Amino acid sequence: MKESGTPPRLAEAIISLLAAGPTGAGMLGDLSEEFRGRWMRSPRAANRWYWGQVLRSAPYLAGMRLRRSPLPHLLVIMLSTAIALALLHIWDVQVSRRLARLLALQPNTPPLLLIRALYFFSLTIGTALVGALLAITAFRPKRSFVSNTIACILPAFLVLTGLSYVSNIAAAEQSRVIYFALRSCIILPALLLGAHLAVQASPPRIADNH
Amino acid sequence: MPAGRQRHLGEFELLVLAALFQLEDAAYGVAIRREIETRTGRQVSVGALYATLSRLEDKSYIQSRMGESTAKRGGRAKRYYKLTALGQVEFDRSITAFNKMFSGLSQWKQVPDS
Repeated sequence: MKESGTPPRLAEAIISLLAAGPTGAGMLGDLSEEFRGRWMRSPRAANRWYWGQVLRSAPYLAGMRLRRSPLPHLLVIMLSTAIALALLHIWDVQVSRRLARLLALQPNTPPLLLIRALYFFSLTIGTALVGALLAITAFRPKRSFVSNTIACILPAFLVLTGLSYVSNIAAAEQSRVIYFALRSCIILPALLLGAHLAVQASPPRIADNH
Repeated sequence: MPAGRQRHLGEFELLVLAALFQLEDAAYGVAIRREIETRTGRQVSVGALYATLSRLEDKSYIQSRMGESTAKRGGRAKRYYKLTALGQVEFDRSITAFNKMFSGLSQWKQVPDS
């Protein structure tokens, strides 16, 4: 016989999984309080009631968890960056590579090395800013996934296009594989860093304790 | 705020805010659920209540504080909720809108219990 008035462990685990933090603790406390009152009258009915609450609550808690999860926002950031990079690539091929050829810089000369150093620095900072911008845009409430993504594409494209001009000049004489590998190595961590900073800097939620 | 941009409260959100108003400083999960069920006869799941409380808190209409923990709650603390100034304004706006709508229903007759 189970200890008197103890809610079903599995049901509690499901609630804990779906509702973490102070909300989950408050909810489990409420359920436990009501469960013990019902247990006095009928243990079996109390167990049924508890499981009923879990089943009825699960969709709401899953929705709440999804709403608070950073996953949709990160998806917006990654998707809009991917679209922006695709547009940028087309832009590169058509316009900015021709511009690099027009400038006709010689490989491994001091001006080119300086430009390359500036390129890596500006690309890192600029991409972090793009990540922050996308995260702020994506975290706006009351907007759909699609509208957030669309709103993110233009600023991402504009900033990355600006950076691309410098990058093409710097990488005009380099292998395309190295060029894209280097760019990816910088862009992805910088995007995540920017997104992380933006999330940290977003307005705090109502405090749990007052 | 322009009229078209106002966030309107949903029916259940209004019920929750009304319960908080009624319960004053004693508004925590169990009490809020009982208040709504007693007054309206509507069965409310814990998940639905907390999802709504969470949404209202995100909108800054309510705020919460942790209270005392008791043995019958498995050692877990109560979480008390109360309306913020913004929540009171929105609640008042919604009640006023309802009153304006219902004030003209002079021909409405209550359906007798079957």
